[in-house]
Amino acid sequence: MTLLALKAISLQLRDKTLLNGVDLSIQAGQVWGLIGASGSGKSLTARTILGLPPKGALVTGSIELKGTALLTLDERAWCTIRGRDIGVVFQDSAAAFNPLMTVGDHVAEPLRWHLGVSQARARQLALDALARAEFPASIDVFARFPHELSGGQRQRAMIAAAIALSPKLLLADEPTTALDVTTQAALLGLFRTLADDEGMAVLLISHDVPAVAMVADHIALMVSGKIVEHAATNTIAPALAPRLADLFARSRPRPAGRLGETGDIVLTAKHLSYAYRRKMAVHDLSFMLRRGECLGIVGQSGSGKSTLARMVAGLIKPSTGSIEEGHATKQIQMVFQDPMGAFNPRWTLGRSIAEPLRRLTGKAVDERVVEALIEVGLDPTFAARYPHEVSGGQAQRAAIARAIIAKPDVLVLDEPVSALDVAIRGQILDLLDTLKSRHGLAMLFITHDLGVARSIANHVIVMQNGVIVEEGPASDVLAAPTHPYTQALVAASPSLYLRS
Amino acid sequence: MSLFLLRRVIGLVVTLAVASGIVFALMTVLPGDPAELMLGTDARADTLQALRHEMGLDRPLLAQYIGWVFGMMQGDFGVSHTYHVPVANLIVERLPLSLPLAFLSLGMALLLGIPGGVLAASQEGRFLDHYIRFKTQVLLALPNFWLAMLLVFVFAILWHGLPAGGFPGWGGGFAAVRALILPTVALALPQAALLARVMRQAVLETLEDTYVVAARARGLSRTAVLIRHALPNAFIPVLSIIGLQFSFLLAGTIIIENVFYLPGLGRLMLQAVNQRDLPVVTGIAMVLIASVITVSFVVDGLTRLMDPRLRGRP
Repeated sequence: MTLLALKAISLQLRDKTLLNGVDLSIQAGQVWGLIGASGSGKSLTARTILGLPPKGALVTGSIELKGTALLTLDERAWCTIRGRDIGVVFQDSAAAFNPLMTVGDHVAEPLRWHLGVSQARARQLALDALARAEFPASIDVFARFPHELSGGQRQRAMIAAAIALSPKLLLADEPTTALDVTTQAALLGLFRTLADDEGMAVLLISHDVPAVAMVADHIALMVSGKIVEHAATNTIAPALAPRLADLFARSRPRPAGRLGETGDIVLTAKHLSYAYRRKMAVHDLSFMLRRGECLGIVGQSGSGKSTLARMVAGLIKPSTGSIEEGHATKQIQMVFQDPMGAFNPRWTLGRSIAEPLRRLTGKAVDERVVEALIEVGLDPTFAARYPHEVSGGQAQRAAIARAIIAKPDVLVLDEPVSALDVAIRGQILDLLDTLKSRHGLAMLFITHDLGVARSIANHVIVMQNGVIVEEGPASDVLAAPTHPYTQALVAASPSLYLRS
Repeated sequence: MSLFLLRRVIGLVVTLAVASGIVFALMTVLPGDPAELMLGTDARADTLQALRHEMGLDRPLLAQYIGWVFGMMQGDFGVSHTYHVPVANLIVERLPLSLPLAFLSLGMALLLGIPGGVLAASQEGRFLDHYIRFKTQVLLALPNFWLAMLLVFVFAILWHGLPAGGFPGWGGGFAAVRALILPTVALALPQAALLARVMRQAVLETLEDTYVVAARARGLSRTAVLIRHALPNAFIPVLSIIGLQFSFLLAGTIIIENVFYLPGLGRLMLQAVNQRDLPVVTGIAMVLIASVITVSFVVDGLTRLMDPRLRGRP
């Protein structure tokens, strides 16, 4: 039986058509993956189903939830449906919680609101919901505030709040994007369980094709406000769904080549340790980096990989140990995860990109900026733009331009593609690969995504709790991991195991 | 929490020490010799010298400073050159007027400003919002002494309903309250306007936050989300503005007290400046500085109580 049916949903906002005839129908117990690039209208679809479109938006078409036409409801009727019949999980769990309220009260809130039960009863029911979301029972949620929990725990609490009243429909908007792979896999499994055991219909919105493919029965591809293709996950064939098939093929990374140990050594790290508040973030780490080589550092959040990146880039000093540069090594530059946050919003991109060129002035600077922009595949006119005028992928290209403009020998990249869409992710990785071979750049590439590591790194180091647990050529380590931690990471990485 | 308190108390003492150092330094570099001021320019040199010695002005500067600070700790702010009574007595006499006036105006500013701001935000873009924004803009642009004169003109001269100035003392009972009505309104209105605008902006910003959308998604109505989620979060930044306003109301009464002939700290300060009565000026300055620092200490503590994210930090 059809639970949710969208018919010809269109949404206009200030003369712009953002949704253009979306048709979708979901049965109870099904998990649907809605994928598409950012700006394609996925999240907007969810907010329209929820009756919370942006201010001033004009919605046409019809949405039926179990036979009830939603778009004709008034605000009071909406308030009885949201939270009770439709549960929502948001992407950014750090922002989706009221910082002044305990986590437990967030889960109890819809129970009190919809059922009108006492606070004590609501709390009791909240604990049940938390247990269903597999939230650790040892945490006293009514004494803990959102900032005191990890991202994964917060996300589970948000799922608990969403399923507390056993809604028929669960909307999950990029629910695992900000999490590391093992947590991501566990949460995706939870959505599957909720659909199978409780008969919930789940609409999983994501730009991460392999992750969605792990749990969804059906996948719909959204482009420019319209669902252009959809198919059952196990029947995606190029003939029936060419764009989906192509996306699947592209999200399966091709492995980077193995490298002979021939390049000059540009950097040697010897027994690096870093202690923070008496805890060892990095403990006794040694490695070598050669010209033209990409060394991938993989591990979950908290494994110490970002601390390592900061030490190599010279942003923090190691507590003990040393980093020795090769005799020809002149410069180390860094690229950060969040390209927007890495630029001064009041400066043009050109001014930001030129910043490492402290000794040059005038025309020479402009020429170098244009050269760098062309090298990263951006039009020279981007020099005059401001960060908010470009997309995330373009901003990351500009960040790479800034990093290479002074012709560094070593590039430290801290999760440079994690914030980007799959399609753009591939382009940035290709760009980095080209730069590496063209200039013989040495790269230290920090990532939690093993698929990404396999497609760019020649050599990988797997880190856990600040120490190296495994290292070797990327193709060997990721194809046949020997350490249990690496094995767990590999098993939890959808992008490595995509069915063909 | 105790570590936080300890740090803040140390900070408080250091700030007071620095401020008193600056006040003392200004006092010593100012041209004019207090002894000469007291005796007149045609005083004899040996009388001057004797008075300087009596006042301790011939001691080294550091000794003078330490003596001054320790004196203040014991409530000795020196003796007024013009009134020849201890400065502390003068200040204590004036506080029962200035403190209630500051509290009354702050209370009125809060009562008008906070609901006004919330109302404007909840009606964003509609008539009431435009109306409140226009009114507050006008009130902010008015100098408060001019507003005070306008109030006197309307309520005292045209209507004869309220006194134009003066203060009968708290023994006067109801008359005392009546005497404070116009000064309170004159002080409070511009502050209320500022508060309303700040509160409106803060509420609008929190209404954009994801947790507000998330709460709506759990089924809460617009009003419930506003009260439960947006207001507590919007109030935290506004709290520090309120702290600044209290300091302003305590120290900024100088002009208003003169318009209304109120025997408060501000008027005492102005008279003392005119008569070059340095001990009185520095004494009042130190009292105001201490109260400003104390208020910001209290505001910091309240902010920590309200925001759990700050509680864990020393």
